[in-house]
Amino acid sequence: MPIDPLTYLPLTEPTFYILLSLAPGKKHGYAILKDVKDLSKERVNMSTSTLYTAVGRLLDQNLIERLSEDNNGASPGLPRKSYALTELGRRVLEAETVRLQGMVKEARLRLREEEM
Amino acid sequence: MKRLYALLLNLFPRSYREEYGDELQAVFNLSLNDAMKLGRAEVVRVILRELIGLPKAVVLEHLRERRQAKMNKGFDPYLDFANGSWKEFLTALLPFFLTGGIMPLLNYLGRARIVSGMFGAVIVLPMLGLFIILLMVGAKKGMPRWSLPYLGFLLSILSLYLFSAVFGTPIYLLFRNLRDQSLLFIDILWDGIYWYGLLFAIFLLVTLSRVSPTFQRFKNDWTLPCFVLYGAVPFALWITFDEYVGDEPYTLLAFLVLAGGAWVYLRSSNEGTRFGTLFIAMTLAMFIAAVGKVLLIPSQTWPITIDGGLARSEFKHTITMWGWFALGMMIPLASRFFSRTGNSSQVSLSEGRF
Repeated sequence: MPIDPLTYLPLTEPTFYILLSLAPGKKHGYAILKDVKDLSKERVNMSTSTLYTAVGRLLDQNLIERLSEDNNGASPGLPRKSYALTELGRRVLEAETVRLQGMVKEARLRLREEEM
Repeated sequence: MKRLYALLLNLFPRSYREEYGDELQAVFNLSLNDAMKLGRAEVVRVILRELIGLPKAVVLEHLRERRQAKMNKGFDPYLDFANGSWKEFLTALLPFFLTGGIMPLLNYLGRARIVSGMFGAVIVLPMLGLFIILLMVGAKKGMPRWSLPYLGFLLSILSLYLFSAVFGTPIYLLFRNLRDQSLLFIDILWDGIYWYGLLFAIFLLVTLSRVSPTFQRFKNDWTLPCFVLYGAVPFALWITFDEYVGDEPYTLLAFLVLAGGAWVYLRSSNEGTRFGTLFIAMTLAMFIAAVGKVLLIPSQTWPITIDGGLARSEFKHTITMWGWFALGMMIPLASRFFSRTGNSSQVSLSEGRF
């Protein structure tokens, strides 16, 4: 069912980074946690439980999906479930990126006006 | 520390623990292992972060579980259907099948003197009761798609009896003199009196979907209010054939068309197709009713003069009714159009200025 991605905006910073982390492909929880920390230059440093609360909400909203990995495919010690962006999640991420771009452009324009 | 974390996980709701407990533990273990490589300070930081984050997560998950349990209480897992499944279709179409099947059957049995008028009431009242119960179940479950025709059906009854009962007389007094002049637009306004309440309800639903998160899904899928309105068509057809004899073939055909439209609607994932299907099926069903009435009029035994004027008038009434329903379907479409225009102009403006 096509859903307007604009209705999910604006995204919170952790949500944005979680979705962004999954943009290249599926990841398990720990990889998301590390990636979000790196992507945000350590600004978003979530606890495990905070990550999974966010993941649960994103699953409810159908922005991400949970994938089961077979026992042979999963590395020892790593969670056996991984997460991937849904089509809707990808569209929401793209829409948020456009929104942020627009904001940055406006801000730059206004700041440039002030300098002149 | 890992054991302590395993113990703390018991604070989460049981179902959540069963679903995510292993993952939470595995991720925590990995975080701790990596921190240990970086030194004691990092270990302390990780532990503090987890201890600070955990209480909030525990509270949120308990609240979420309570919310879900409240929504599904008593009905879970009944009437949870996959979108586009046969079960969803059959449940959604009950108002169409029952109204379109039972009413002609009762008419026929009554005419053949097999059953009395009292029997009709005995059948119709439980049917309405069933609709109300299913609507309440749907409301408890957050109004899934199958429940929307029930909402439309019962709204149409309320619209007819409540709205026209409350506002009928003032509107009649307002338009009485103008009606005598046989102005077309006054006739159209007059014919719409039964459906003003219904259209207002659709308008309200669309408006609420724009301002309230509770009605968000009606904004996410703007065709849903159209499906609510579609659920009102069976009642409209039911009353349009009131006092007609021999309407059964037309009623059945119209209801088959409506059922077909709903089937395509529930199966399709394209917004345009879904809206178009509902609109076309509603139009066809109303047209079948209009033509049926014209063809049936000569055979009726009413105590009034039956002539060409009456046939034209009856045809016009049905087409006017279609017009009001068509207008109702345009409300979500217009809302969607204006919302899109607003959003796209916002984005293009911000991009264009740079």
